[in-house]
Amino acid sequence: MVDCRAEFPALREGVVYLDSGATSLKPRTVIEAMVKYYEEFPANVHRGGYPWANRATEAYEESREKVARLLGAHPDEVVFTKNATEALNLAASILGEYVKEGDRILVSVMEHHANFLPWMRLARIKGAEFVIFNVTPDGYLDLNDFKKKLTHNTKVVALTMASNVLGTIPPFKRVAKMAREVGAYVVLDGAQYLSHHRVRVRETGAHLIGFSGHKIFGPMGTGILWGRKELLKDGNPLLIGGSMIKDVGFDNYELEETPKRYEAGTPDVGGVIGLGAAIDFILKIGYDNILAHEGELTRYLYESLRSVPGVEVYGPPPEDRTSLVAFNLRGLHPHDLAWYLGEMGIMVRSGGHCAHPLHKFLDIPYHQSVRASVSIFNTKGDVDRLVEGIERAKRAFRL
Amino acid sequence: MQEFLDYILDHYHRPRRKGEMEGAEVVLKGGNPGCGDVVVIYLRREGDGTLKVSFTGEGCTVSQACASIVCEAADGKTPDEILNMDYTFLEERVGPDIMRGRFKCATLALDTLKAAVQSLK
Repeated sequence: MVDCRAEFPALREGVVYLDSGATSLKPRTVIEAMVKYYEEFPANVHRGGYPWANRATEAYEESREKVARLLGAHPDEVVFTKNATEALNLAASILGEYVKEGDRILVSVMEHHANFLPWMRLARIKGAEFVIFNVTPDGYLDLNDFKKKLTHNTKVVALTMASNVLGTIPPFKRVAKMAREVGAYVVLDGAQYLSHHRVRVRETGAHLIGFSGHKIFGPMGTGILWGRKELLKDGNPLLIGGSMIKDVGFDNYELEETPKRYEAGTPDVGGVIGLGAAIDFILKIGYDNILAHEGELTRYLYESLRSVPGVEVYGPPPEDRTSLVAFNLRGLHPHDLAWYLGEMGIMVRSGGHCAHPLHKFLDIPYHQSVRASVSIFNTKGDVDRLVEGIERAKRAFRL
Repeated sequence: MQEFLDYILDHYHRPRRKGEMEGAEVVLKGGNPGCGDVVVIYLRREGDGTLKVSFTGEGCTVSQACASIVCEAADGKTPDEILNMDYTFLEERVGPDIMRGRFKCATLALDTLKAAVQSLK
């Protein structure tokens, strides 16, 4: 197993952080890269010709190249956003040009709201049909349901690459292939996927993919939209204003080329530079090592939770899921359990996890759950602490 | 903390003043299903100027227990007496850890109750 705990300053003695699904901890190198920017060359980008400004622009664009290399993409296809939600909203803004009244937008029931609501809203605005395809009771994507609902008027298919509740990794390449056969655009949500798995964007079959930067060890306020250049070329940006235009007249304007046309105003330069350092960190450890470490830990987490009497675990077995497990303890509301665990220094998330339709669809008690997610710095000892914590909560709440 | 938890569990499992109220003058819903905690407060004025108070709701142990605690204390009080109830009242009963860690859950019923009383005025 990988031992890199020392590289995370927040991991002080006794800290059990099991919420990397919400945001990953930041390695020292990421924090240092940001501090270096703010201390040594804290200028704005794409403006001014003095040394700090040039250095800031170079560092900002170097991060874009790192992202492009990580994803197997061209730098012009990499747009920086503030998070995956913004990336997916931008995807909807770009595809909005192609969706017409009577078209169908097909979205899985296990989407995070970030890849659900932009499509629901777009469908409402355009008078398109918003159709949901299901998961099976054991948490797999229901491919038969998808095939049935994939009609010739389907213009967009939106799907997660890994469910943030069930952990399910759906066969997104297969789905993308089928969607393309009817001429639909495919949008994937890679927020939960990229910190654990190498992604070659062109091999996914998708047209647009939203990623989170802060879930891949990068700073808060960073996200990525990858899109095929032919689609990004003329897309409709979410924001217009500073630094994304070629020219502005008294009653007209001409937008910049991609990716600049999508990055209006001053971007989070320090954050993007930190994101570059996060990618260096991932590549230094290596996806093979990450997967091996997290795979073993996810199995241990899944089996350990299932062995606790009263605990109900949601989603498929560990071999078919990413590094998280959502569960409930019978007789105790997830807020109560997560809070009590937190009092013992064990940090997990509780709630609907921005996936209310999925909780309702599976009729999960309280329509909420507790979620533990593991990362490269977690250990089996962390999982043992979680299990002990649940047992203590059972006693404290007289279960 | 266990002492406070046991007090809360008692109110959660044996809620006081829980149930819809016939002839309620105010029915006010607080919280939202998205966060998981919902408390509905029912109010009716009695002839002597005091209020009859009850609640319904669903959600976590803390939110529902605090609804019971608050409604039991408020039932039979005047509007002004209820409006003078503050978070100290809650903290004395549920303890500082729950007030700090579960502030929104703990205060939901009291805030909703006070808003309901305001609407009577």
